[in-house]
Amino acid sequence: MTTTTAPTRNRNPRNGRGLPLIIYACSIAIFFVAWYAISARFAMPILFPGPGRTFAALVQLVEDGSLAEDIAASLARILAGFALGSILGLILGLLMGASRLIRFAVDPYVNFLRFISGIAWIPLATMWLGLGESSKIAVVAYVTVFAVAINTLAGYGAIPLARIRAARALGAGRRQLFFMVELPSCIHFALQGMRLAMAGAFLTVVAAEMIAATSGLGFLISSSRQFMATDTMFVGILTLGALGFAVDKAFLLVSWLTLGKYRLAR
Amino acid sequence: MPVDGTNAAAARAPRPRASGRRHPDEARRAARSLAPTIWSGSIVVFLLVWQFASRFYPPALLPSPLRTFHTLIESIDSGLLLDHAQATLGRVVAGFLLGAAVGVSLGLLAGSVRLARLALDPYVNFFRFVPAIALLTPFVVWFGIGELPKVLLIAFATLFITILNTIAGVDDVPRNRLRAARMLGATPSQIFALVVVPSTIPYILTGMRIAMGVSFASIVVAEMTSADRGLGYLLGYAQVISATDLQFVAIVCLGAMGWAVDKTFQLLARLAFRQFP
Amino acid sequence: MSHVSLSGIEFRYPGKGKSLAILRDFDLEIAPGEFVVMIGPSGCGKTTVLNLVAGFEFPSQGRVIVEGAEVRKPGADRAVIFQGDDSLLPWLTALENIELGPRIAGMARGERRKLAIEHLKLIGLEGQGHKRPSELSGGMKQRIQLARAMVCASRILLMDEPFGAIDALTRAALQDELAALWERTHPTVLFITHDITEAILLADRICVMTPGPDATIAEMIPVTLARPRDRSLPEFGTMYGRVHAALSKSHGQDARAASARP
Repeated sequence: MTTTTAPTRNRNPRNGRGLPLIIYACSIAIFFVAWYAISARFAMPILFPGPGRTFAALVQLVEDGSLAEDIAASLARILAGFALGSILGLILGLLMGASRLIRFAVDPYVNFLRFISGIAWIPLATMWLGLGESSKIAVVAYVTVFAVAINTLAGYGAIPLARIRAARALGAGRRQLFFMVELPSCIHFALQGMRLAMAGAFLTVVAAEMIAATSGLGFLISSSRQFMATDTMFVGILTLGALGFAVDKAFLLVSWLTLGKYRLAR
Repeated sequence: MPVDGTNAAAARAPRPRASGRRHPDEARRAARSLAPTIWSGSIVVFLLVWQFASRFYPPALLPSPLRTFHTLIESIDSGLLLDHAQATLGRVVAGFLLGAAVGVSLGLLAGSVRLARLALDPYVNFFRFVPAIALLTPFVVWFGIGELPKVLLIAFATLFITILNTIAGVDDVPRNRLRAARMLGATPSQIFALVVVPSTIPYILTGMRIAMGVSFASIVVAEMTSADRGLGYLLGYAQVISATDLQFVAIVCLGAMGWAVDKTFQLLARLAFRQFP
Repeated sequence: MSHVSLSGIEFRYPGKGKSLAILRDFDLEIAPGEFVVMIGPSGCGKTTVLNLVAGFEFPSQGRVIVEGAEVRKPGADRAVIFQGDDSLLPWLTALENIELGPRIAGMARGERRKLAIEHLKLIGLEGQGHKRPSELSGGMKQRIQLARAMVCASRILLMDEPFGAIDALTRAALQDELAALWERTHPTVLFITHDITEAILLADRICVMTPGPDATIAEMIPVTLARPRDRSLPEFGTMYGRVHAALSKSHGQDARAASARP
């Protein structure tokens, strides 16, 4: 039997555990260097501030408390609209799932309105509900309702027939079937819809604040245009990214802790 | 229907009724034939309520459906609507194609090459949480109020959604599919072309459809705040002159366009990639 | 000289600290043209052995030698029939799936198509070549996998519970077809199953595994019944009893329920 050289043992792509961290670090370092290099080429640093200027702007906005205020304003609108929309969406989705009459009656509106973004309603919402908070909360809720309702309905359609039949065979009545089988089966889908809706909620709030508000991160970004304060815009954009990330992770954590057992079996 | 839940009661109870979609076939078919009636009934009721409600408000606050319909016809006849719709569509399609092309390429690269994946990871995971329109203001500062900032905005909105979906697609290629190709002696580039790319196509298409929706949402703000053409501009303009009926027309047109583009996209995708499940 | 040889194999998944060894002190020699069936319940490392021979995984210790050379990567000399049907490319037709191997090897279109059609006939699916996997039944899909492997003219066939998810009647038909195919060309086969009847029907030797972790061979049972084998003969039943006893001994009581006679 011919003997060859020692083989490579366990050629698994996941060896070298330190590698990812090194590449992450390099990649982020390159980003900052490139950012700095590009900004240095601009004759007017105000047009494209480098990391240093942006950081200075961040420090200033943190110190005078305006960033915290804007974050609070945006976040309050998002959470209020999101909560309202999620509850309505869940109810709507469940009703559509449980009753064919309601589904057919609501179908044309859901299927038409889901193609109209919340942003398009901002001028009308402002006119009907005023420049205050309620118009922003309303458009965020509008965006959330469709994502949650459509996903909940999809969850309804995905309930295994055997699960329904098992409950019926055990003597479950209509109401028991709903509360013991159908509603719990839909929760995972509703949560997925809510997670999707969160992205839409951020988009819509920023738009609403750019168009018709005097506070919030969207306002912070759009109002800096008058002073050509690009560094402030950068701070606003980076804050939005960080906030979106944090809210998404918080949502995952909270839903996992409270409703984790309704996850789909994988 | 008894709800006490005892077995005896259930045994005596008549055949279960009204339990969601789990009906015998005949009942299901009967219900489906009812659907158009309920749909049209629902729409008629809605229009009647709207017409009735509009009597109590000035048209600047709530125009009647008839008045809105009249404005719609007028703005189609005058070519106004078509002109603005064209501008919006052009921007969305250009930005969408640009963003999708870059996004799919980067997604396939990051999905297949570990180094590229690790290098891209921090950016993808950060920027996917940045709402695209937040970039509108700096784009306008840099590129003015022409077409370029709007196209770039849409491209940005499309980019990260397609990257994420493409990477997810590459990750989800069934392991046995890859192993079968390796077992048949395929080289890495053959595996990429024969297995990875085709397996990822449904994910790419899904990502592009989602991105299309976000694009239509984002363009409205861009046009409202910094444009002199487009449905978003028309919407903002109508607000300024308190022409609420024209706002309705613009909104409905935006929805119809989003719907039409979505359906066209689905149709094209189905024709081009018929064999993909 | 043995065709496939595994010696002193230990396998553990690389990574975090000390992971459990799936296989330990595992040795197996398969002669050219021999049909070896590995039997044992799920999770005992049968599939790992197959993956080692296929070149999908590599041992932490020991060596896997095929045709005198150490296995370093997968290749068309060792065709694999996968468990389940997700290894067929769903966007290709049955014929296109069968000719995938020659296509990868760079064979001309007309030539490989001819080859594929021949093999389609061989597995009894003549005229079904235009269908996509989603339009075929589970049994047909496994036949396609078999044809895809045979097209490559591999001398070694690695089969991982190929008929596990198929209804009993179709399974019996497929078992008989496989036995007949093997009689004709005598490839070297490593076949995994948890079905005792299937093992006796096909094997020259049945390799009974101990439960994992640290799995190894509990007992090697030669099957000397004349081929083609008949499930209804008393000798078949005696053999069944012997394999079942070996399995029960190596796995304790819980195996008895899992391997009730079909």
